[in-house]
Amino acid sequence: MAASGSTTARTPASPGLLFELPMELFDEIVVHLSRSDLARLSSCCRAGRNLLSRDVFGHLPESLTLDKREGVLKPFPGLSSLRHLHSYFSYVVLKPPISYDYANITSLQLEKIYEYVETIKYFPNIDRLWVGWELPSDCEETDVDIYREALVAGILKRLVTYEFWPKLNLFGLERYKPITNSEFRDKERVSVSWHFGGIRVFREAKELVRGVPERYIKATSCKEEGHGGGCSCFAPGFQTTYMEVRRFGFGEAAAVGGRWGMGREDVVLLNTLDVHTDTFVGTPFEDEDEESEGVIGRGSESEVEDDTSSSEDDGDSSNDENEDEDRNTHNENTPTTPSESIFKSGLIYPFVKKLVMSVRTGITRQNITELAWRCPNVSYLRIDGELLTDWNIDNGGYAYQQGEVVYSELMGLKSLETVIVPWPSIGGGSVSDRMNMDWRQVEKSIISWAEVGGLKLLRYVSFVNNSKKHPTSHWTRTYGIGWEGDGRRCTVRNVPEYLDYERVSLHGRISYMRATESSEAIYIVLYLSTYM
Amino acid sequence: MSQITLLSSDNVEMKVDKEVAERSILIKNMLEDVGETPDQAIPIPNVNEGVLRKVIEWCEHHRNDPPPPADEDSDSRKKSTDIEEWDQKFMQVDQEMLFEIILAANYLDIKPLLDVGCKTVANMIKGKSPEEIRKTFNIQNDFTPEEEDQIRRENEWAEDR
Repeated sequence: MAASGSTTARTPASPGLLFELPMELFDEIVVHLSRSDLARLSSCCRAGRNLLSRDVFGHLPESLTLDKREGVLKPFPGLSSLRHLHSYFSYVVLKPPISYDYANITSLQLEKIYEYVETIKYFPNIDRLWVGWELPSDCEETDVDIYREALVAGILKRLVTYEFWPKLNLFGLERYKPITNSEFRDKERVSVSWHFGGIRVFREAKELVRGVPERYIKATSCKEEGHGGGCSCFAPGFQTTYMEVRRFGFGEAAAVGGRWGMGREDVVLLNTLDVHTDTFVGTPFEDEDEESEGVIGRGSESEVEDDTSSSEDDGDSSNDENEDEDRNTHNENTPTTPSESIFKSGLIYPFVKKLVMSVRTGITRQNITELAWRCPNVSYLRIDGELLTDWNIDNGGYAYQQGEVVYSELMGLKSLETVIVPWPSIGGGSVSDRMNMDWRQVEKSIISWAEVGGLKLLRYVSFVNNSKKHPTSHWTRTYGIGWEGDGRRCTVRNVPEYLDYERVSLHGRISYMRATESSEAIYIVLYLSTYM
Repeated sequence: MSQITLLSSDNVEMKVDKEVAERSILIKNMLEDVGETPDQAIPIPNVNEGVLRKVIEWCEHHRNDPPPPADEDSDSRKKSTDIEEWDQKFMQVDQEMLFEIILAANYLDIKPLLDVGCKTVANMIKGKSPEEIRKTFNIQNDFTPEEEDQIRRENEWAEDR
């Protein structure tokens, strides 16, 4: 082997002349071989395996179908010689279709789901994932949506812990329908898909949300809104950056939405933002250890109400000198205050002028702080829901201390002109609140917003009683804001205007609410992490 | 017809027609750089006498072949491992010589000869089991039985994709 001068003399352990050829010449030979020939050649010795893995499996990286039924997954886990190939795969279809017993839908069989998706954790660069699923025999077709959403919730709970999650651009479901008396399956691609991108994932166990929303798939809502079948699916603890539902999918989206036409990270045309979440807040949770990560916890509406009751009990014992500490550590109704650095590492939406939040279980003051930071130029803010707070029963039912500026967090919204917020009392207030209310605190607060906080553009403020406990007695109180003394002194007066508030039944399932200018509305979902 | 002298790595001089020698792009470029037929032997330091004679034999046989297209499509080469009958016989040499010819063709930049050599090796691999390939090329099996089993499964899996 002297001709090229680039090879060395053979040793006793030499793999043979063939594998001693310079790489470019070896390539010249294998280019004439079929994949099966290459596979057999690669099976001769370690040197061959090392040289030929890419050639043997090089057709796979863009597409991989994992089907556990056929045992084809065996080559991959563990210390397989193909381990290094895992990183090549970006498109994965996971089969067979998963299903679990529907008999007890409330106890999602997470272990089964986790086991099902576990294989793909070996692939760090998946950006498109399709998962097959089918309806179990004990589940009626009418329950298909519930079943699917529970399934997706379980899957997502796992996916967010995988390395490829931040890179995932598409998560789709493929539904398989068995044909009676046949072993064949009729594959039906579900008309919805879930698009991710630019997702911020809280990787730390504590930052993962325990309270998984009961129903956080808004697919049907999107369809109802005529957005062409696009939909959004929200896993806990992240923000979606897909700003424009209309642009989901392909076609036009491909032109504007990046590689896969699935959204963009900027908000160029955005002028209306709706925030929809069933668990925006109100799912405060106790400290969790790392082992609890990935376990679906609480978060349903009823659970929150129960928590409120227990909190009232706690309030009776407020004279306990250790109360504050107890509340922080044991009272699950106490929202965990995030450090600013957490939410401030998220996205900012400077173009958002109108912000409508539909919140089923309530918001916290921390949420408002975050919104003010993320959407600093909002001029119209409406929050449908009730305020959850670290309240004190001795405080006359207010969500704030006596003398404290109510909703002081709003002072971060310097462009605010109109604000509609829940009445800042326990549970959103009651009928008696309105009859015997001392309005002075909120009126002084509004003046503080304007004069101290610099909300010079503020014109209307409306407080809305959204009490879940008194759904038939909701009321509003609206103030008009004026300026005297050359714009230096703010005046507040009760006005009869009923701002374009749309009453929302907090006991029903919140559906997408159209913004006022909804004909051109772009439905946005800003999913603020529920640890707030 | 002008001739030139080639000097093998083991210091053996061989006279060849310039036209034959110019099947090698390396030599052709060297002659063009010199500008005239050199009086001295052109050293071919990486090719010994035996291999150089074989290479010259091939070049003489193919002296009138049209030059290969400059940007030959690699896919078209990949599609076929057909080899002319004369070339097949020419390549019926021991394996060490075969690889030496391939290396020499690569060094001398004789693409058609390189192609014939690589196709010959590929044909020696085609359709053979791993064990047969090992025998053919004297390859030592350094896998454990467990590894062999694992590799077999991987290959089966890959072929089904």
